Amino acid sequence: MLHEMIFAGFGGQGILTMGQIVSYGAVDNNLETSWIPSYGPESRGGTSNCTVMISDERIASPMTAAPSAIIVMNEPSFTKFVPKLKPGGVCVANRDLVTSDTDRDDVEIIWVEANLEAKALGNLMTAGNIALGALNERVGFVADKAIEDGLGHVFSGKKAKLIPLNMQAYQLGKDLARKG
Amino acid sequence: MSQMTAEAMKDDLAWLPKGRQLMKGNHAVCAGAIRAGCTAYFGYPITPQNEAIEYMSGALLDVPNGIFLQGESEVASINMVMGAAAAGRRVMTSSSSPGISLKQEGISYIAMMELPMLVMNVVRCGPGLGNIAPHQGDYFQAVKGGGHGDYRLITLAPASVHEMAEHAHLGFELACKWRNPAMILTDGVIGQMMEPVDLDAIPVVDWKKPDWAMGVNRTGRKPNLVTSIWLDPEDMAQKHLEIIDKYERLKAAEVRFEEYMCDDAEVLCVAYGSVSRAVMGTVRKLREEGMKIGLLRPITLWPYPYATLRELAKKVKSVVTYEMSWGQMIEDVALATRLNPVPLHFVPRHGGLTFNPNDVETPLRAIYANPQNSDTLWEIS
Repeated sequence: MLHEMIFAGFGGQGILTMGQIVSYGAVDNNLETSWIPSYGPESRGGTSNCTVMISDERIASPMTAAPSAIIVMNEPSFTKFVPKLKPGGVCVANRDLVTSDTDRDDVEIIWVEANLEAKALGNLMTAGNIALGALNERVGFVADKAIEDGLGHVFSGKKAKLIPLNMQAYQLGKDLARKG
Repeated sequence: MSQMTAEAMKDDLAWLPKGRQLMKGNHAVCAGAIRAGCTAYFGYPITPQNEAIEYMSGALLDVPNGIFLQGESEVASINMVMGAAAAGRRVMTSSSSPGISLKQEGISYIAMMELPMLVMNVVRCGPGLGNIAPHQGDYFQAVKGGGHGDYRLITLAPASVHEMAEHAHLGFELACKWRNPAMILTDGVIGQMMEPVDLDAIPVVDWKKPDWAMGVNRTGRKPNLVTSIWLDPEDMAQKHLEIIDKYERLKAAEVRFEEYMCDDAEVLCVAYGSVSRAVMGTVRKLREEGMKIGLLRPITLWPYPYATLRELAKKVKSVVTYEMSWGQMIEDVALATRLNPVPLHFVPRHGGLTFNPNDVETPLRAIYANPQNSDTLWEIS
């Protein structure tokens, strides 16, 4: 089992944190994982992204040219990463910030109005976890418990009060993906 | 780290990094160093290794007798390292390429003074200011002697975040055993990446000041001498012979490497550090297709696994070196295989671009099909 994932959006959307939630959760549940951010000039303007690997055996390359699953939270990320998706791969795309479309018919695109849904929940910053729920519903890269564990690492101390809301967002994402 | 709770303060070893944690490579190396008995760090910030200096600035506050100091420059910092090493501390510094260049004078002095210390170079792309992307262009500087004079640096090339912690311990052990500076040569891929680290697997060392170290002599013992100046050539020649002999023994004892699926390989890949990860993934994939390909990953870059490479190369049709440089380690591959010439191939990445699996696989398929593949064939010129 190897999940090669890229999460992308613009700076401030919590993209890198989203990846860390998954990796922290994977470690707590005895999976192998790697998380690597784009840094430097590449990460300025346009897209901020991280590559997350989840496996049950030693992970070779922490980077990939052809991810099996992606989350794209804005337009530049959509145009950059959808063409790279492996045939049969899954993409969760934020319909609120992606206006274009793709003509690829060998991948699955799950459209989620992540920003609108997050605002309805009362916190725009939960948009990422809605997307995360949608992707995990379709791909199943970790158990739901791992996401909760991961949130515990990222939101510690005073921020721990944000965990229930983010779990709610994650569950909402799962529901949205299930309904299609 | 520095904000310990009252309860944690009661635990004498609360400062000790432990457990299985998801960590950045730049943090893991420091956690490993502290477990290995490092109590002093001197450095100056530079991307992409600032997480190391950040970690030490907090962690060493809680380590008994810990000293952290941000020097006014790289030159100042390496000389502080020299002083702490002379006083018998397990001491560390870290920087990235341009900063490591500034430290070279001090490293040369430290080597001649036969002082143990650990320096990490999170290599970025040069020459000059270059950029902050991952690169392997400082290989020559590390393994052939970056400062003046004839010295060698024990050079370790971790390929994972866990190995960053492991190599901090190994680096200190080798440095102290041989009284020679050691370097961890890595890049931003390993430094910035997060992976699980089993800190409990890193030995805890209660480091004691060695007999040769400097200090106030209250016991009337024979004074210790730590120096790099030997004005009389006769004396200097004698010292040189001693160090040459030490290096020969070190080379015989401390070579480390990993062989991956080499047994029946027809094509042998050679790669170190982060690059070896991409190559390993490709080897694994092509093996599933029945292609006989192996990987030799040098773990010590000095001393280099010449003998192993020589033996492996006798059994293959070609050897491929993957490097993020203009061509440095490949010269050591050529040295290792000089007596039994086999086609050598060189696959580089330039400018701070990293190897994606495709960048490894495409040339490898061509070389597997044709050991004389002219696109990648490399000769000494």
